[in-house]
Amino acid sequence: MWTYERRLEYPVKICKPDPNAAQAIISQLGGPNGELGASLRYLNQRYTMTDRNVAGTLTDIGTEELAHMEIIGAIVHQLTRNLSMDQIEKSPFAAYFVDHTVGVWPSAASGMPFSSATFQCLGDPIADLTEDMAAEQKARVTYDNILRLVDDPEVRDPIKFLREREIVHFQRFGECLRRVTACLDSKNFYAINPSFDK
Amino acid sequence: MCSEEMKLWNELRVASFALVELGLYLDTHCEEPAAMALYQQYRVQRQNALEALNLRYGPVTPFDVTNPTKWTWTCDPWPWEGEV
Repeated sequence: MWTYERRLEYPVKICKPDPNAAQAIISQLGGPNGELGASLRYLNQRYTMTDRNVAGTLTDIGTEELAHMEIIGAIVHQLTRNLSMDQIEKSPFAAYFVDHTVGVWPSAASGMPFSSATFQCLGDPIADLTEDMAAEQKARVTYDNILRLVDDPEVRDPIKFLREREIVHFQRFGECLRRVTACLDSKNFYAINPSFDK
Repeated sequence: MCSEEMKLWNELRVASFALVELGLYLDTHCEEPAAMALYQQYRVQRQNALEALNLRYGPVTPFDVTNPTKWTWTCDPWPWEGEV
């Protein structure tokens, strides 16, 4: 069960509208390495995660990713809510504007809609945790790319916070993987799938 | 899980669902006295169940661990295991 707290995990206060920054940053809402996919990946992997502590980590990080989704939504909203038609017409954001005005819709920067095809739940602890570690690194690189494109410190500040969280999550998932392998046959980690073979 | 713990989880579930339902109604009926009175009644019930669970049994959220020396968030079965 979840409840909502009336606060962002990290504050967002952006004064200057910027359609190009919004177009890039929306990828972290609905893109292949975004926060929505991250949350759904971890929360759905929990059911077959046999180690109770690792299931706890998936719960806690999957929940934090929902808070990150909200931070990205707040950034995109504040970057687009006061745009002039002139700014929109001169930006590639015009294509998004046709279908969504300045509503916040989960898509990649390229316009590709959000899809669960961007993540996996394989039901095998080693495969799933290795995917989770890769996912955190892919999200970190995406934030690095956004930081290459965006100059405004009011936008960069929350993006830097989110980038740091990817590194912390990568670290925690690495510990989870070691925890899982410690309970398996050290001569052959792959002899069984502990989530399936009884 | 002992029967006292089961009873407290059930009290939390009942009071919380009543608050969810009343909250949805109150979102669009902000000043209705009967609904507000019920809301306050269930808010107290939820608070009591929450405090008893956090003090005597597993924490309800990871912000509620009261054990001073041990991280008890990951000790008990998760709700999807079908044991709670």
